[in-house]
Amino acid sequence: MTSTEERLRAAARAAADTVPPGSAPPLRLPDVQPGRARWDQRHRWVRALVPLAAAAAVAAVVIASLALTRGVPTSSSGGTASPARSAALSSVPPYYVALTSAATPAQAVVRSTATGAVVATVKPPRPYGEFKFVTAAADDRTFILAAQRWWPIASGTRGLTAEHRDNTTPVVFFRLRFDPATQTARLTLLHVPRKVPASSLDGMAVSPDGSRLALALYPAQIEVITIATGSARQWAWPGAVSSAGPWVGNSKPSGQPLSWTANGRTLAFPLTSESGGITWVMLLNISSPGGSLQSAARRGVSFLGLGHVKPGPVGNALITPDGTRITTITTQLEPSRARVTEFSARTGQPVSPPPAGATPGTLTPWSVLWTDSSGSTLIVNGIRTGPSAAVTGILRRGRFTPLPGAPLATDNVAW
Amino acid sequence: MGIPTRTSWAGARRSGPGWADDEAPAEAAEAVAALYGAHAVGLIRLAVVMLGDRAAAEDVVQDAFCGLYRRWGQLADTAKALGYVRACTLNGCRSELRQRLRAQRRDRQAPAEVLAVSAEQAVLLGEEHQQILQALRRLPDRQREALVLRFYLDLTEPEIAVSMGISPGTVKSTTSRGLAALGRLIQEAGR
Repeated sequence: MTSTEERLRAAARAAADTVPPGSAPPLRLPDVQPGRARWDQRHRWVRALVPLAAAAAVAAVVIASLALTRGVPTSSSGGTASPARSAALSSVPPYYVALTSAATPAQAVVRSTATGAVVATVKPPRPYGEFKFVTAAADDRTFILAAQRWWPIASGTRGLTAEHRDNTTPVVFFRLRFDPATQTARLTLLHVPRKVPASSLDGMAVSPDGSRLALALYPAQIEVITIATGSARQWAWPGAVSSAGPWVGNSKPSGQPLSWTANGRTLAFPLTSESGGITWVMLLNISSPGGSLQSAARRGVSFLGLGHVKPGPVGNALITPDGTRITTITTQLEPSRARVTEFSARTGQPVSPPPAGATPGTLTPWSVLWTDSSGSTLIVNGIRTGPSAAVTGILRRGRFTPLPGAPLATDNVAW
Repeated sequence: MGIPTRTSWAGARRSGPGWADDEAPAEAAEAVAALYGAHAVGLIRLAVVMLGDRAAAEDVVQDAFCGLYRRWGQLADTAKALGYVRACTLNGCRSELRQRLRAQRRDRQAPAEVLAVSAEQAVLLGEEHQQILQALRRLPDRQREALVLRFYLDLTEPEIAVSMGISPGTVKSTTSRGLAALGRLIQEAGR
């Protein structure tokens, strides 16, 4: 009997060999011209406006300079900030932590939300090689990081030993305290008696007061650790050991899978089905007795049976700190377009209009990364039409305010 | 066709303005056609492994190259075009499998019926290979893609991480879980 990976390799090769060399059908390119060229052809008249635009730009610079001398509030990047942009920036936490992967090299970076400037950097202490997850408390000063050893692995079957060693080595947890006054960050190793293998950790969220840490463990287990004592409570979804799910988390690490209400009593988590999209957003009452996740949690939103919303894919879903809304990205069937949708946590039905306003037509959102107390201000990422493309920004009153320098990967950033 | 995996997308975008419009269409068509000539068979093979259906695989790859053509002017680095079109192919396969599963739920078909290989594939593949590939297609998206990238395309861990838009650590855990789940599914099918 050969090993699973060798059988898979042989089967894949056999399937691939059914496509002989040189058998690809001819390429049929669409009639439309590629992106920018098409725009340029339709808008040649714009060229005539270039001198006018240059003059307007000069005038704008002069006006901006005058405004600076009169003490108009400016962004910390040095440019003038519009009232809408200033309002948006003042409604979100001023700092966040982003992780970089082992290849770049691995570190946790504290950045300014308004400017994207790096204000502090920490590396995983040896022997740890990579921070795996990050989560933020409500004070915008306390962050929890999970670190793992991380050994590089080779391609194919040659790296299986290193991979197994990496997967089975427990992760450790650090508290990162950021001091805005001194612009410094300090790491403290947390005492967590529970050993969590690196391959089991699918996400984590610290409670708003920073006292408890919730872990999403594969395949369908939630664990809440009291940080001061190291004591833990576990809930497991009964029978969830099959590859068909359900499991806690999402099909890609898109945003944080876990979120807390401000009072620290309710934890929202997604259950993902075989098709890879979130099937339900569940609400766990952490004071519930027993260890069954099915008994202790109720369905907040069910994506099965919602006629106007695809059952998947949904990147992630967050409960608002006031506990009234569950906010996520959905794809409408007709017309097919991704948008931010906010659901009532009580009824599971969409709230219309959403508190953060309608998603601008120029934005195709991927994930909700942060929400304010009621879901009226969100930080989301996605693709914007135009040259700037992939962006992270603030969605507030139907207006999207891009954040400069914000990371685009979504499993490794926390506000 | 869905959007490409976010890491490869972000890495492939040009931050500044596009090219001079006089050279754009010809350059794009020639470059995309050259890329298609060099890599179309490889990508169709990848899609056949994922889908088990040659016709659907060809459609997915055709869509991926059309998407590349439309966005050619926005590529930051044309050397990354292959990574982009590979990510598009994987996304196309994912969408196709999801559509089949939705149809299965709607029409109450058995999963084996929905995920079965085409008649042509059934003739060309042995029974054991068919069984393994059917089990592969029953895995969650991320596990299936990680296994195919690792054990069929022989990509390195950082390459898989970039293609899938996940961290290297997550590549490891996903591959490990995928192998374990595949082994279980193969055992179940063999009983």
